[in-house]
Amino acid sequence: MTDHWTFNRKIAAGFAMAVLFAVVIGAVAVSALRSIVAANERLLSVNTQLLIDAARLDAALERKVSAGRGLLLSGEDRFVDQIREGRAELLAAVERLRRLAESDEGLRLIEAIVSTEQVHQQILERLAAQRRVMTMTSMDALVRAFDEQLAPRRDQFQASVRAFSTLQEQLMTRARQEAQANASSTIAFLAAAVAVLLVLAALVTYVLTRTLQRQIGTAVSHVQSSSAELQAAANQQATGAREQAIAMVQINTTIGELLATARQISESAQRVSEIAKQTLAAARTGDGTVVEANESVGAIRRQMDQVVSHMMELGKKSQQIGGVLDILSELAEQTNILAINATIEAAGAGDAGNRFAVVADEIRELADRVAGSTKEVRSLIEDVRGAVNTTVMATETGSKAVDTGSRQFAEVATAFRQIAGLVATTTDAAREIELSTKQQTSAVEQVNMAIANVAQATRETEVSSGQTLDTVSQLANLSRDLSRLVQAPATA
Amino acid sequence: MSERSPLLTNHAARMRQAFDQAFAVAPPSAPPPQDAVLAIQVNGQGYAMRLSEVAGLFADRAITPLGAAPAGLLGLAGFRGSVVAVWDLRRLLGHSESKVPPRWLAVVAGVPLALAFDEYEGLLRVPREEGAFRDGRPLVDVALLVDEIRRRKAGSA
Repeated sequence: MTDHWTFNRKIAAGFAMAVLFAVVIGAVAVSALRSIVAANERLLSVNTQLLIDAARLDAALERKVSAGRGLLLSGEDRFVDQIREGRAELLAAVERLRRLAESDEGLRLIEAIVSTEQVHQQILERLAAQRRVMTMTSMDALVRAFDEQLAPRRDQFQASVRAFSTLQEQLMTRARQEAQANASSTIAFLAAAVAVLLVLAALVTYVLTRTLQRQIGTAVSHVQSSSAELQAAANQQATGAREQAIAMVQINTTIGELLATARQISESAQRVSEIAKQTLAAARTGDGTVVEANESVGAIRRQMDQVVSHMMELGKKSQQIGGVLDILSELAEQTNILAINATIEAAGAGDAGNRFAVVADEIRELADRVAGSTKEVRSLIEDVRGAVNTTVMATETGSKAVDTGSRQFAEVATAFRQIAGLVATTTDAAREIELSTKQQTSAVEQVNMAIANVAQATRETEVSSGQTLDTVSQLANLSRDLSRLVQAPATA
Repeated sequence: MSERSPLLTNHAARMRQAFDQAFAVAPPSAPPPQDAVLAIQVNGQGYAMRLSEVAGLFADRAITPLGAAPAGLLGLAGFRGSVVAVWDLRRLLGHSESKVPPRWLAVVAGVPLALAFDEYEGLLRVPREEGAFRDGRPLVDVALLVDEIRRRKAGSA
């Protein structure tokens, strides 16, 4: 049952038991003290009072005696009052003694004192009466009577008082011894009770402390292990935060490089854009030049086509001329043949044919001349034809060259157009690069801010982990103290 | 021949001039003793043929070939209503047969025979002389050739 009690309850129970023991001891002690105190009280109050009163008796008697002496000497009334006062005091004291005294011997002595005092008083009153009526001259006799009658009573009184005092002193001594014995026994009893109760308390304490030690020890060991783990975790956190801070610095450096690189890329993209613009302008100029050249080439080709057609016409015409020449040739030949045959006939005709032979000869010569001219013309025509062919061939070659040139111009124009297209693409790409580098820069700057935030968080983490470490070490110290509280430190 | 000139424009004028001049010249009273020869070409070589031995000169006449004809006989051709046998002068002179049939025909006088040759160069009037050459050209002996032909004809028959 007690195992399920909380520490509060256990400690409260222990304290309650201790308090109970204390109360018990206290009660016992109080009762013992009370008896001792009562005894001492009696000792003090009664016995001392008796002694004091006994001494006061003496004093009162002395006052009375001195007052009586005074009265006897002076006969003033004031001394009477003094005597009365002294007596009253004495009687009061005697009354007190009577009240307080318990022993028979004491009472007897008190009665003796009283009787002695009564005698003394009687004597004193007698003497006083005597003094009142006496004159000054019998002072000596008064004094003598004082000494002779009062003094022995006074001595007796004093002896009784002394005896009472002695008795009281004895009684007091006895009472003191009794009281001491009582006290010793009480002390012994108390000591025994205390010892028993101490043993009980020790037992309870032992049980309680063992339980508490066990439980607190377990809890403390848990706390210690947890605090050790926490310390390790806090250390790791601190290390991690430090590494993170280093990584932050590296990232910062990298980001700086990134920004620089992005700026470089942006500048390069701008340069590329500029160059692309220039290239586009140059390509357009080149295109324009190519168009012009194409036009002139077209004009050249048209010219050449015209030349070729003219040449073809020339060729046809020369062919026609050749045809005419063929006719002429044929004519000349036929004329020649006829002339020859005529000459032959003329030779057969004899002399009459001579003049005819002459004419035939002339005809023949004419035919020869015609043939010769025809030959020359034909050779010229051949030259013309050859020139025409050469021209046509040259023109064809030129035309082919023009075609080639035209094709090459077309290719150049295509190339220029391609260049223009590529330049447009390049410009777009450069613009995109610029945009993306701007985006990249802004993103990098955002990253920078985020990094700064992270660095801040890291610093805070470091601080908090430092605080955690402090707290953990405090916790470890506390747990160590706590463990030291519940059990003795293990020997190393 | 008139002087060759590259410029044809002057040619006509010269022709006219020469033609006109020919009329201005008086006819020769007595012709010098000359021989008229035909300058011909056979297989690229120049020959001469006496005009007196030729009855007529013709060109590009249709020659009808004869089947199983003796070597050298090109065929038959018609001249002024008569038919003559055309013989290849190249073969007769000992040259090789030409791939292209000769254009010119010289009809032999008194015989229904024609000699075919490649080129007719012109009529030459050379001084009469003896010898196998006229104007540096070997003279074609027509009579000899006719005999040769008769022999060949007889041989093949």
